[in-house]
Amino acid sequence: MWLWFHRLGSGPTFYPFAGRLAWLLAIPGLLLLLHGLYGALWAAPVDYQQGQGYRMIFVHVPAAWLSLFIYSSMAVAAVVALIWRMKVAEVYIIDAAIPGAGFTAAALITGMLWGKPMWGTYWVWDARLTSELILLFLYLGVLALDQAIEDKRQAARACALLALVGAVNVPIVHYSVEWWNTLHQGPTVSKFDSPSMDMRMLVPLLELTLASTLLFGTIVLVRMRATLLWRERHSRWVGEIVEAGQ
Amino acid sequence: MRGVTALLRRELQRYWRRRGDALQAPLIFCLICLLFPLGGVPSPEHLARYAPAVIWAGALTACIFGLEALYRQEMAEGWVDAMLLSAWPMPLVLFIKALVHWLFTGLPVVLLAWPMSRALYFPAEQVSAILYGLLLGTPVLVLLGGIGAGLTAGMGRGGLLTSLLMLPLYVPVLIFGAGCGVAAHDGLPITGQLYLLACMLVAAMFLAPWASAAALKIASESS
Repeated sequence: MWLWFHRLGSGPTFYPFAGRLAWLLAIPGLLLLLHGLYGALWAAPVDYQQGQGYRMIFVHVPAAWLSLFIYSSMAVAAVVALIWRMKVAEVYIIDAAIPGAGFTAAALITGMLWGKPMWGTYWVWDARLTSELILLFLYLGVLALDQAIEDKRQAARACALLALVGAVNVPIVHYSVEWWNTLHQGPTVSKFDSPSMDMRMLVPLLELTLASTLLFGTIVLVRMRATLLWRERHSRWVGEIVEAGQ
Repeated sequence: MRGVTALLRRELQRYWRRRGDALQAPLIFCLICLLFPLGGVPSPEHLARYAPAVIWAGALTACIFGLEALYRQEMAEGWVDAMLLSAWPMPLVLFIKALVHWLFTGLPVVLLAWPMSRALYFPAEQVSAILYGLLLGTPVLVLLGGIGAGLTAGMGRGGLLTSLLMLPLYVPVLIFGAGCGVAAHDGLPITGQLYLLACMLVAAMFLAPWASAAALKIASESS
């Protein structure tokens, strides 16, 4: 098991494994996505208060979940990268940060678009919104640091440390923002205040969340394969793969 | 222990010889505080309301600018590599460096915050709340900033990048530090904020030097 774990950390073992795993995640991910979309856009009833507008939640919640999930997974990868210097974990941090920043931006934008008709404003200085915005800046910081360092292995280690420091900070940021917000403003609108959801809405929501997590896995594995090929383009195993035309 | 005093003396001398450079950060702090009234409505009630935010925005910016000087020259001179090779515990070395750096860039900001708060019409009897907040908060900024400065130490010009990396992490300090001033302005107790800031300071004193040491080690690997 341990040996397998270590072997997986190297390019030649990881590359074909990631290729198979990407398919393994993509197929159930796509099926769930289609079924969830059908459930979300056709089958689910219209909300009695929000009308059709509530359907934004089917994009918003998966994106918001992924923004947090990806950052946590980056922190785990950062620990692995810093302790065991595992190449695959180093590659993961950057290749996950790009979709992570995208999902964070998507969560913010969909939230704003939903907020305009529902709350009457695009932006509220609410604790959730503000900490999500700060999370976006943490992602962008990781990406900027990676861009700034020429040596890619060194960049990955620097990003790993930054991701780890950021992960320690995220809960502190979240709670301090919450505290600041409750100190300064009256009761704020929270989307979880409403009574629990109808099953016809909840099931597609969970399906779509799972589907986007699986598809994120596919995307990140494909990206990692490409990054590994490029970084180790001078090594023999890459040459063999290119010659075999796989 | 003799090593610690020797290092402390070296750092103090270094900063003292270049005290003009060290003064830049407090000067920027004053300038930022004086720009806000020019950019907004210079009426006492508006300024007093926003004084904690302005003071803290100035303190964050001044601290970020000051971080440039923390490791850049040491890195270029090879001092960092020598220290990493030596038997010195790097976190302790960096803690001492951060301490001296704070003495020359953070402490002047805390002291200057008194006239600056008054210039922004912040009520005189409440100014101490801002000062306590800064006194506990600015060392956290320097200690945390050491991590960012370490990560970018090897680059030609990483000042802008350091601020991009560090400012999001400064949010909790800003909230509680400025929160002190806001609460005092509203006549509320500030002990809660001060305890939380003290808690952050202890945590940063304990953890940040280790993270900075790891960052410098990564940064020195390429050269």
